[in-house]
Amino acid sequence: MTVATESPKTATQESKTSLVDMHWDPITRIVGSLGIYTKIDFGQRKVAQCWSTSSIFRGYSVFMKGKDPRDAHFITSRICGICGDNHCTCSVYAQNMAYGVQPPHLGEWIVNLGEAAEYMFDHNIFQENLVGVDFCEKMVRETNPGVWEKAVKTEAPHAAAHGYRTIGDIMKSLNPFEGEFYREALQMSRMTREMFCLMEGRHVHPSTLYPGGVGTVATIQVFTDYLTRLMRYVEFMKRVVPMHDDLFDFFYQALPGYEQVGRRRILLGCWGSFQDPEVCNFHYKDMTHWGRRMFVTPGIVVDGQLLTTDLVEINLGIRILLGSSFYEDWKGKEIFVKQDPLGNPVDERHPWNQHTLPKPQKRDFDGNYSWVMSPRWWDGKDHLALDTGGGPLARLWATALAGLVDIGYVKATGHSVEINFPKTAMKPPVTFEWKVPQWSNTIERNRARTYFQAYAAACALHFIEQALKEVRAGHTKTWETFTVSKDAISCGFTEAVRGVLSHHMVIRDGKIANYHPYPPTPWNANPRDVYGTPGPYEDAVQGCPIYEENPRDKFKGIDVMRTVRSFDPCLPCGVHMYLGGGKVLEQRHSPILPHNG
Amino acid sequence: MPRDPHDSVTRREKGGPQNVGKSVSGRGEDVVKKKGKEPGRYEVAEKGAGRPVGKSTLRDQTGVNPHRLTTAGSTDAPRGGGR
Repeated sequence: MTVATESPKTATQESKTSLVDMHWDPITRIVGSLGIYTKIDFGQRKVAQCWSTSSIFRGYSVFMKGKDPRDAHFITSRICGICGDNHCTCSVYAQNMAYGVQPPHLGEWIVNLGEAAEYMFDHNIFQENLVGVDFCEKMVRETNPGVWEKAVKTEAPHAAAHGYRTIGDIMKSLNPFEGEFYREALQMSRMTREMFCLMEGRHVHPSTLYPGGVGTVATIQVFTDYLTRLMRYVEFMKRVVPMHDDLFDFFYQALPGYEQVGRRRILLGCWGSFQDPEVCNFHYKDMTHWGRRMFVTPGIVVDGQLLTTDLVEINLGIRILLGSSFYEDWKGKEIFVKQDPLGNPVDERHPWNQHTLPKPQKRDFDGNYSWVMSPRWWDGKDHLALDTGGGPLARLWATALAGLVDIGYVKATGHSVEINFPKTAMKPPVTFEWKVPQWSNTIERNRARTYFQAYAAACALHFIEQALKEVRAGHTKTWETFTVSKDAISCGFTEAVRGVLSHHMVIRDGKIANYHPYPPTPWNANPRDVYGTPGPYEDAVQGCPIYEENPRDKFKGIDVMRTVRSFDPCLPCGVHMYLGGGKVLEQRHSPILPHNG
Repeated sequence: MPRDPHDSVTRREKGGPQNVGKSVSGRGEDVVKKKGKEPGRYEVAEKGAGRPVGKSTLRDQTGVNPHRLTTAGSTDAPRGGGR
């Protein structure tokens, strides 16, 4: 998929300004959809410009039209081979609202347990087996030999908790395929997938999730099978959290100023996760109330301040902008929803009213260059380019500041989140505290991921206690019947592993008239919007200082890669890079057509 | 680039996305409407935010010689390993 050739225009610019084009395309986890194009100023050791592009059009919002709404969760689950269950869950929430159905408590606890297992699984495999490689011995030796020398001499402050004496030992354990911790993490990923399958039947496209509840047969055994695995994961996290704290703190210490890598203005969005069946009735008119009772609090954090935790306000502020995307504008087209069920006006640029009009064209960085649209959040003055902080950073930040969650195992204090783990096989009870950081940057996105793994595990302990209470009381009903509304509008909000996820649906005559899923990566990977505001990847990479010690001809771009990966975008496999000297590393042509669903 | 008139994404008439996708499989909701509730399940009450609470008897687990409860007053929790 990568065509790495140097344009004459670029060559001229390069000779005059010493800017060098550096391209990574594709950076992806599923299909070759994400590319990062930069101009790096080696004189000043920083990234001068960045463009984030996506070369694959998927078109779910197009072919959802006319479908039976009861199929929505099965179809939209296939959007992604990584977080399909998050889409399935979000679609089920939207359908519950449309049909006015409330699943039994037990059904909701099972969904929560499945989603908690998904967070534990996906964050673990990404953090330890993909992000970890950027911080492993081999990578650090190749990119920053000076840092490696320091690492082997630096004692790990929490060595007693995780068992690695020096930072160098931690880095060695992260070496791909041979590192001790790398291999252990793979085993943990397998186990957490088993936990997921116990609840949702199949990973990653659940077979037992429906509107109105779940088809999982709720027995004591299925929950204890989950619990025994969960307790092993809790024990694992008691080592992982202090280990990552040591590793990430070391980078700040070894590379003064490293907090500037991947730093952008604090503009974070979280749509909340884990419903509480005590208060959640899936009615739009009550969404403010039950949204605030989610076990991960929805919220928008701007410059360190929590703007809102109101899901209705969050919903109405969403705007889908164009500007650099391969679509025709839908201005003047049919408005599906003029008012929400509370009577609030709904904007033409809101997902309920979006029309998807693909217009394939050549990529042009001075014009249109991506299939991703530019989602923004309107605060009444500006279209804010929110990011998700890779998911966990926004979740923990919003939850911490809101101070609404208190279930014993986790507690939001107003400035931090406490995670309380009980005694496990080999370790005593442990409390971790994630404190609101100073910056929204590469290291803090990665640190938050580890803490959120612990947060999800702690929530799962609460959910399983509640589920077992239901079963022990004989309340084994897991689903409720419903009738499909002839006409309805609805929305679902949750958190995909890597951040905000919403599904907006309009039903007419019992069929889907409009359906728009908005996953996290469009929020993070979008191009410059109609006002010229860059998307979060672009914003975080532009101006990023270069700490890598390699000269230009051996440049790996590790600081840029760490930054992009901190948002948890995609697998880095198949990444090809164009070096400034003009050497074509590899040229490939993909048979994927632009209209492929 | 002009649109391909035969492309299913942009077609508006028959064959376009608005005109396909009718489900062919049977629907659980329809079956319940026709046949009524499954044997061995009964409603109890509502709890929390209007959420239904239901229990099941051992008849729910098997249609063949369902056992009686061995301990009086115990719950009819399904056996492990599913049905």
